Amino acid sequence: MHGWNGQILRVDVTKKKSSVQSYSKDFALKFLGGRGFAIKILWDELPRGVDPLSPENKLVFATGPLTGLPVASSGKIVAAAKSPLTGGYGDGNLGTKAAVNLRQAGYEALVIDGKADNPCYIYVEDEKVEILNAKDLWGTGTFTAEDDLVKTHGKTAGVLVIGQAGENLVKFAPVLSQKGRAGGRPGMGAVMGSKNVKAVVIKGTRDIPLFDADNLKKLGKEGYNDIKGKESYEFWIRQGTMMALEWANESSCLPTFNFREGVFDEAKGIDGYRMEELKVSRRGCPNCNMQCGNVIKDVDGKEAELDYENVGLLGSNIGLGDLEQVALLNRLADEWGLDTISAGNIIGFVMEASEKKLIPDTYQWGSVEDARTLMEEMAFRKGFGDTLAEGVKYTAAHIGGGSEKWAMHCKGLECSAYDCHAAPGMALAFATSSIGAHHKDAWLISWEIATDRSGYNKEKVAKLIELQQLRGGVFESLVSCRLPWIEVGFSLDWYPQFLKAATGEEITFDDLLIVADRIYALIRCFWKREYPDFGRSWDMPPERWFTEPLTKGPFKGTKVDRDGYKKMQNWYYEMRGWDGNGIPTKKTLENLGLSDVTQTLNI
Amino acid sequence: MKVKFLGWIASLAGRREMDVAVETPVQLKEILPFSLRERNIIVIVNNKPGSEETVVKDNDHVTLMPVISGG
Repeated sequence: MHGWNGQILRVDVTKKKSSVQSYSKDFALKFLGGRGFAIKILWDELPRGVDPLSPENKLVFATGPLTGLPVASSGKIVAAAKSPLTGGYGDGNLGTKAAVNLRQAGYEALVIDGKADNPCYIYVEDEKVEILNAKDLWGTGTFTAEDDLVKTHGKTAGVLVIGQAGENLVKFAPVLSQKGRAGGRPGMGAVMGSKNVKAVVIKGTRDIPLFDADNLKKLGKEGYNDIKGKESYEFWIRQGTMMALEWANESSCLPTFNFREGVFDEAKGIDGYRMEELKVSRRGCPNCNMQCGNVIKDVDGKEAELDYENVGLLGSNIGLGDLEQVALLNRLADEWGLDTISAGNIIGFVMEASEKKLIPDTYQWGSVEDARTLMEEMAFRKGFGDTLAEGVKYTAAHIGGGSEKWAMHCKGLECSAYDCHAAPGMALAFATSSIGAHHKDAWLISWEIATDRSGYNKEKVAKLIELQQLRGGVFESLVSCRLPWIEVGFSLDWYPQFLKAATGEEITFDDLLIVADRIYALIRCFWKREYPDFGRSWDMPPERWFTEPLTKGPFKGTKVDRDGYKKMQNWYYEMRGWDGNGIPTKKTLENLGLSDVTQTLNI
Repeated sequence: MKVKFLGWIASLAGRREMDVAVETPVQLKEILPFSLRERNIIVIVNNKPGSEETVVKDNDHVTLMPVISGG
């Protein structure tokens, strides 16, 4: 087989054993890699109702057929498991040298099973697999732990690591790498912590088997040059995703004061231009020539890597308009291993709860000290933080007082940085995302703003599904970063060419879209298997967007129309081939080659 | 009339915003310092989607924005 190593590494940390599983080309073509491999493994191997933080849950790190190859932005890996935050399927991707090394070690995926007796880390060097003592690393932050591991194993090693939040089973703890790359928002770091695994260190020295290495190298070089020649490239290098701050504020979709508003009076203090004044360096993922991690010094003089999502949630969403203070919160979240999006979302929620006097303590909007206190309490599960560490949905149920209506999440995952009062299609995108309210699967808002943001129509729904197929399906399975495509206009036509050179297979974009639909349907079925009542009532955005209109900005008075939303929901299910309750029909599953799934769910 | 250029479009325009006196209504393309043709740029005129053919007049607010992906 070319393009894929054809091997999955399995490590059982209870038994301290590893094994290598081969897989067929049919499996590779049907699920591609990354998210596709992850959902297939979790569907096949997890028993219904498994406790996500028990040894029986499995943590999957999966790459795809483009990962680690000399092509645009291919240094990424997907981390997936049953989510402790949502109880459904959870995943996320992060850029890391571990992705490249895993492929060069001879594997597409690593599956971690069981629970170690004591804190450990997994060391992989080609065929050598060791479970090593992590006693001295346990309790350290991600920066310190990674530095120690790199000192031990060398700079070429790729490291996936959790912070104290993952160890303490904070349900929105992700996995981190390279001091700022994070992935797996719905608690993939907590799953790792529950297994007593502090880190995974991978070194690969082998060649990935390629169909036409020379042509791939040539195409890869042409692709990199194409990216560098784009009109938007120079500005991207200056600001990266931080340009979105001004964009979102101008468009009334910048989350502000716990998503009450879409515009922030102090936006200029935290936008991309302010970042440029403070910028000291830039970081990025392997194999990328449009690195997006902008580094500034925070108020404590320490380096922090910023991107739009972090600044939107830890800045405007909590009323904080000082970028160096936002950077402090950002850096602490990265060190402690907290998801910056969920953390900022929850801090905003607590500040609003304090304002409404639903909780006894006072937390002021815009106070970096209060935000820092809350973040520390979450990461270390101190006091009120023990409740917050369960996520905003749980916290709202705990404090009551109607706060469920402004607990900003879908399916238990906190919303990322787009206010949707005046973007109903984006609200549907959040609500139908396969992991909860994350922007990765379908960032419809740009298209929506460009066309008809107040409309509720079939065109909008069709575009949403197309974006979910591309972003949440194709890129998450290749596994390759989506940013070159959407940010600088790198053509999608490159990807079948890369695949042909890597695998020798004629895989068209239409083929990739079918794989994407298969993956999406199987994830949907995973949720249904876990929750018998799963269905359309789960695909709802936060109540705030329906009931509390914006009070400021050009879209003052706007909110999502419930009837219009429900119409779009119906069209969405019809176009996907799902029934009126949002469950894939027997015919759809059979057409996607998922007949076995129909029997399990009794469809 | 004010025109705002967001993201990389500010580099293209060489400025972040531009004030233009428009005595009689004109198509937007008549006053822009670059063409929008073959460029993936979002045009917003008075908070509504537009294009370079949209007729603009004094006191209108125009924003030109890139299509972006989110963090």
